[in-house]
Amino acid sequence: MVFSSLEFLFLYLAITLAVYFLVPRKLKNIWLLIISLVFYGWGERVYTALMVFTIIVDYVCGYFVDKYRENRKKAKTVLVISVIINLAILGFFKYYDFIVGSILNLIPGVNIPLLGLKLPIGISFYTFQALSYVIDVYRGDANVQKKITSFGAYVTLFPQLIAGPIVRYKDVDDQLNERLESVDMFASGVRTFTAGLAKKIVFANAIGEVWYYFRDLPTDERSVLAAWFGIICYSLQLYFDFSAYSDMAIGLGKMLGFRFLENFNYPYISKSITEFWRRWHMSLSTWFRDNVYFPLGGSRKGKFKTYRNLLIVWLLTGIWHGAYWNYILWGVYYGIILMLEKGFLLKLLEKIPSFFRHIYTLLIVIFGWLLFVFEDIGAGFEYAKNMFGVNGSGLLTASDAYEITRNLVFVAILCIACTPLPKKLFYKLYFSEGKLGTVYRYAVPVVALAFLTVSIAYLVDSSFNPFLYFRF
Amino acid sequence: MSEMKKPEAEILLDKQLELASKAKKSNIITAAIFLVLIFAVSVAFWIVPDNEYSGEEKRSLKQLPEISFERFVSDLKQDCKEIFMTYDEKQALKDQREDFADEIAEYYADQFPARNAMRAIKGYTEMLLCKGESNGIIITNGMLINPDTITGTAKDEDGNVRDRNEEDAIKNITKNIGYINYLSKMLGTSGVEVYTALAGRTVDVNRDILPSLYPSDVNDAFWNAYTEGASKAGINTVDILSPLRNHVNDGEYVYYKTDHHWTTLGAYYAYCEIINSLGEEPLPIDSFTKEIASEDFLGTVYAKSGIAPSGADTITFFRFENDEQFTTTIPVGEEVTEYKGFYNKKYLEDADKYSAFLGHDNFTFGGNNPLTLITKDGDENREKLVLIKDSFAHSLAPFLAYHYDLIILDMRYYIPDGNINKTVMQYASEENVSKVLILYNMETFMNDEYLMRIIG
Repeated sequence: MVFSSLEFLFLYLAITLAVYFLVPRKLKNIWLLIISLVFYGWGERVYTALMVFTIIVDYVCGYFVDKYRENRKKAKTVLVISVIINLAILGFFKYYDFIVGSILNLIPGVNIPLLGLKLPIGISFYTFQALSYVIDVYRGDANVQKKITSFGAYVTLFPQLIAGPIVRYKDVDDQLNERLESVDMFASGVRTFTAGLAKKIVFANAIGEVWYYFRDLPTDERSVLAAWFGIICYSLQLYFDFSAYSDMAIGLGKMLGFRFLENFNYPYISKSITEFWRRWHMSLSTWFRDNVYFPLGGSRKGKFKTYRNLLIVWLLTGIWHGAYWNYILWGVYYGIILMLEKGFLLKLLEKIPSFFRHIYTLLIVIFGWLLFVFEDIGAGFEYAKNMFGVNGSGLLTASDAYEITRNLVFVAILCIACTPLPKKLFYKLYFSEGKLGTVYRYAVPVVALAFLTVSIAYLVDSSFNPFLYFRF
Repeated sequence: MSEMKKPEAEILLDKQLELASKAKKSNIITAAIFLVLIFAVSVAFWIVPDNEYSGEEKRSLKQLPEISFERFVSDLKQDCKEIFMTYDEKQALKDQREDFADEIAEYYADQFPARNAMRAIKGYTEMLLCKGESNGIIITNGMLINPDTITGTAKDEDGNVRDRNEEDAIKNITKNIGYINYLSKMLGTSGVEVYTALAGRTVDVNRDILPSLYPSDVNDAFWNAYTEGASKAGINTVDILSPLRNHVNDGEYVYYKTDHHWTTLGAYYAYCEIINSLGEEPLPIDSFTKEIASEDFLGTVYAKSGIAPSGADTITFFRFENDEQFTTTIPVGEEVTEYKGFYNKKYLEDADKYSAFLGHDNFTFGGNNPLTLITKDGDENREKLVLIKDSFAHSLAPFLAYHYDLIILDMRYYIPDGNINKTVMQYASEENVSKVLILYNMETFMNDEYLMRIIG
């Protein structure tokens, strides 16, 4: 199930919230576990068993890691077992066909069957979460969770189950056992959720359609401006889609009394790629930093190892996003750019006006998305050629001009929505003294209702509501 | 990690929550509104009875899928079976199954309370965002214009099915001219003349009022293919595009705002051009009594756009003296509908109001009867006209009936049965027939593959 659907809002969420607030505290986590399994099983009947298996494995491993707290060697063995099992499951379902396919391509004549298994939705997200529990317990960053239901609730928690953010166990350790739902939290959750819902449905889906229009043009009919406009639309779609899912997750979490960390922090206002990756999908970067980069020695073991570690992390980040070569290339692309920035580029950038730093960052990001969006690298290359006027249809065709101009206002609105301006304005008005503040505070629920209504309207009349993360 | 400063993300969250607790009343209202909305709509959804059909959208709505333990078990079994299939078997099955979750999603969208109001909210939001279109329908000067009328699929060289494109449409136009040419040549030998009149689509007649950047060259290409092809073949054509475009430019109400057809006034102007070409005098416009049949007609283009910013359309009947002395006979299988005059007024109560022109009582293809006969009572020996047409002809036929008895054939539904056992050639060689008129609009002409039946 996805949040941006009518049956989620008007069947699932209604029942979930009603029961959640009616049952006594000690049943709340059990209810969350049950209803989260329903959420997952709604679209993934069989793979629910796989997730339950992961829960059991990591619960047991966590238990033994804690038991052998004093015996590091034994604890480490258990940790390694947990890591192997989790990565083996992830690896099998996500990468088997990719690896076999690559082997078949390289060595003709071998006979290994492809499986064509559907990727269990959200497996990359929940595997990383479950793993983080055992690791956090091993490191002593979190306490062992005695109740399997509470641990199960953590792994399956429906708000972040299928598209993140990746919640580290230590961040919710206490909240799992003790959390305080309140009207303030709930209202804050409603605001965040509503903003996310509107971002996904009114912004991301609609700009996605514009992107599809330009993407689907035959190569020789795509003009230079259309190619640029198209990939900008995709950049907007991905940001609004992904950050919207995080917003909805965080919002739903708050309604249930959880405090999840923000996952996006206006990445498109960054002045360098280093900064961009501190603002984009923060929970993933953090996970890789804590669990791969730091354990490898981070940047503390000399230049060579620092660069090696960076490259490993970015190779893995690329692969994490999907089992295709383009994702690997995309990861390596960022690995190299971040190495260059660490080496000398950042110092150089500091000397130029910030306008050019923005341009530099956005260009790198846009070409990154070009690698990211075309699983067929050749097709991506053809598209890139169009951006420079090769094989296309000139600077601008009549039909491209029409499509671009009629979406200009919309794109302008989205560009402003990428910056912190709207939120700053919100806070400024919300906390202003006197009449203005009072009026505005009462206006907020009305505005939220309007956003909800418009989002629902788009859902009722939609033929286009993609889920972009089925590769993750 | 503990030595690190608090991550930026956490600081953000703290700030948010700190701020959130400062506006207690606003928070209570926000929470209450959300909960009331979620619960009220959830309950309303299951209480409000489901609809079978949407007149506004002109389509059937999804009904409640089977919800049962048996279905769950059988779905589960199927899931397990699929896991163990080979790669090729899985590829073949891809996207074939309609999953329970998809069915529920479709059901929720189709049966959502106040669905039409919701569609309108979406449409107006799109306009507010200056997109100029709602669900692919251009909205300009109060007209709803469907710019993209190519339908159907074709096969490419590799045998893959793909959507038809402009080239396919142009090929279809050329092919259809070929059929008409063949028919004209065949009938020409027996002295029967074939005339072709092609009506513009809304997007064609509104060419000059479309948004300034709208690329009309595609549409021009269709018309060039038609006029060049027709003049090359030497078939008789009547230009009803440019006169109607002029009337549109004069601000006259010649095409419906919410439907793809012309208004009765538009049909009248087209009739004048056609009847002149056939060598008769058209009835002057002031000889009609204009009867308003409906003022709340929402047509096929509205069905897509979901909004009609300049309101519903008015359907007018152009009544002339003694027009009740004509009989319209529509045999469809065993069911023969027959009435005096040209109008089946029961359709004025339905959403499908345009079917009031020549509509059969039960046949549900929007008045597109395979065979319609119009005769004048007490005048047995009138000249007859064979009219081969699409639905644009329905509102034009009454004007022609003043001059001729009409044998109206719709090739798209022309399937031989007890009533229809003649070919077009055979109808055309009946006594008193000296003329055949082919009246289509561009949309049908570029998509339709049944016109070839005229030579069958």
